[in-house]
Amino acid sequence: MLLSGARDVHALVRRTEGRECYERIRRTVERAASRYDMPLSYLIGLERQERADLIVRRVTTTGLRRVSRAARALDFLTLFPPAAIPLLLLVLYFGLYRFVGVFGAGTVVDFLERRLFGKVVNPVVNAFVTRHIDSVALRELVAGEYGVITLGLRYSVAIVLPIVGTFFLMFSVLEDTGYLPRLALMADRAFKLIGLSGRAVIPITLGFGCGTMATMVTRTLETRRERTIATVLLALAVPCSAQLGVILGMLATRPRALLLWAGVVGAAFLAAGRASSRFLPGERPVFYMEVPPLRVPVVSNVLAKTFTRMKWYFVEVMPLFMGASLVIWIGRMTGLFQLVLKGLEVPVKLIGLPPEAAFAFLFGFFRRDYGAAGLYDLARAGKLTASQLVVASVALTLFVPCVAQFAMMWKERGWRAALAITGVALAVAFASGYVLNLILTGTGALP
Amino acid sequence: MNGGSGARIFRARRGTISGERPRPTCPLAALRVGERGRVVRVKSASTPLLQKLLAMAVLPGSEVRVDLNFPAFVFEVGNTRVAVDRAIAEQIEVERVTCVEERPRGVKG
Repeated sequence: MLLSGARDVHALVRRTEGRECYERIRRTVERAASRYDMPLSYLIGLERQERADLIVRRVTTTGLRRVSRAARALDFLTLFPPAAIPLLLLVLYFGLYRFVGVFGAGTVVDFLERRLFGKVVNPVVNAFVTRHIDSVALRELVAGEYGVITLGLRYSVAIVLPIVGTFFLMFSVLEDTGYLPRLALMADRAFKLIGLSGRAVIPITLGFGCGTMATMVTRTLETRRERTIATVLLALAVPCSAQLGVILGMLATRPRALLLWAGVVGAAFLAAGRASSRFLPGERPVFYMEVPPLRVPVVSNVLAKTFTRMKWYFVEVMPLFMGASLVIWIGRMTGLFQLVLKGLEVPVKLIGLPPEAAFAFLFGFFRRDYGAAGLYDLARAGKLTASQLVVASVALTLFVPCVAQFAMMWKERGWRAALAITGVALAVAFASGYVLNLILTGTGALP
Repeated sequence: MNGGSGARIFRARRGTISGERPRPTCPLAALRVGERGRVVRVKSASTPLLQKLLAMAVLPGSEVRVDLNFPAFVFEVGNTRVAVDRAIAEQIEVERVTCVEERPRGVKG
């Protein structure tokens, strides 16, 4: 183990044998290592493998493995690009869009939010606090429009949970079938363009569900550099489902505006990926994965995997959403929000929007869909032109991530990275909004 | 889907002991789909990568068969199937098995 360079064994020997003796041992190890052109740990591993193979050969017999026609067909479908890429798109369409987007974020959210919280939980909590709590401030803390229960709990249970839950269910099914490595290897080339390896397909697609959860899942990436790039992209240019829903709803009737929004955000995504992969120090991403044979998923495996990941959500993500309500409460009680609103009005006017839009940006920090919903209200009231709507949607999408995602970045990447990424997002959001506004008003491309 | 355990007989140190007939080698990235090769060495400076490849049985002496070379390299080695990107495939040095050895001897499968 000393020869292999196991760090804790080196530390142990240094502690127990004394510095002088350890130095002698270390020199001996170095001398031995200098005689080979490969790392000793690798050579030892090779030798071990060779011995293991000898034993295996002595005690086992191997027959010819027959590969079934079905397995060959599946291999063809999932590995041969002209077949695999359409299949990948189908999997994304049905798995992600139909199941997570339409069923999870639509049907289930609708039921939990409108029925359970809208008709039962919130009215009960509101009635309870009105009857039993005298202090308005305390009432507002738990109930009312932004309370910890009426907003924090509702948001995390009724809106985010169904999306994250359906995503992880689908994800576990894909994982259990053995399809994920094939998906990752198909995506590898494209992801290399933005400084990531194919493995990043998982956190990035999850980001379209919940950016906070996705930021946590960047843990699974191989290097620190990749984790940072993925965090930047998630914070800047991957709209989460809550936001996506409102923006799509708002721009759905204006196909050109929608196309423009998607184009600008997509370009920002590529540019941010290219830029961070160019300027962040560290090694380029490498991709290697074992590709297991495809199997029919086992229900118990799928459920166990889903539950393990849901535990992450309950333990690490949900408290952040509850905390966000607390921050809103403090902001409103201390008058801090009024101050920030005044400050935000400056860049908002600069990108050609009415000052009321500042409210949407501020609340976009607490719940990204609140921000978008604020714009939605302005648009319905006829206060935004088509070009203003696009500028606002672009700026809001690129704008800082929600407070929960910010806290997760802080936790996973450290405070410096969290603040730096947020600062960059803020600058990029308003700069893109500014330029887009100039172009749109200059050319009159959108009425 | 074959070439698994039989290939292991040629295990290790092949091509490194002097006196053996030297064979032309090429990076795994140069093999065509369906072609076979035997790993001569892995030329990577990264110890973690070497260890990972070792764990996936990509080591000197292993026989590989390329299944796919785009968008990533997928090859069979023993009973395992491994996917790597081009950069890694360039670092795995192999000697061709299919063309050089099997054809003249006319050995089946």
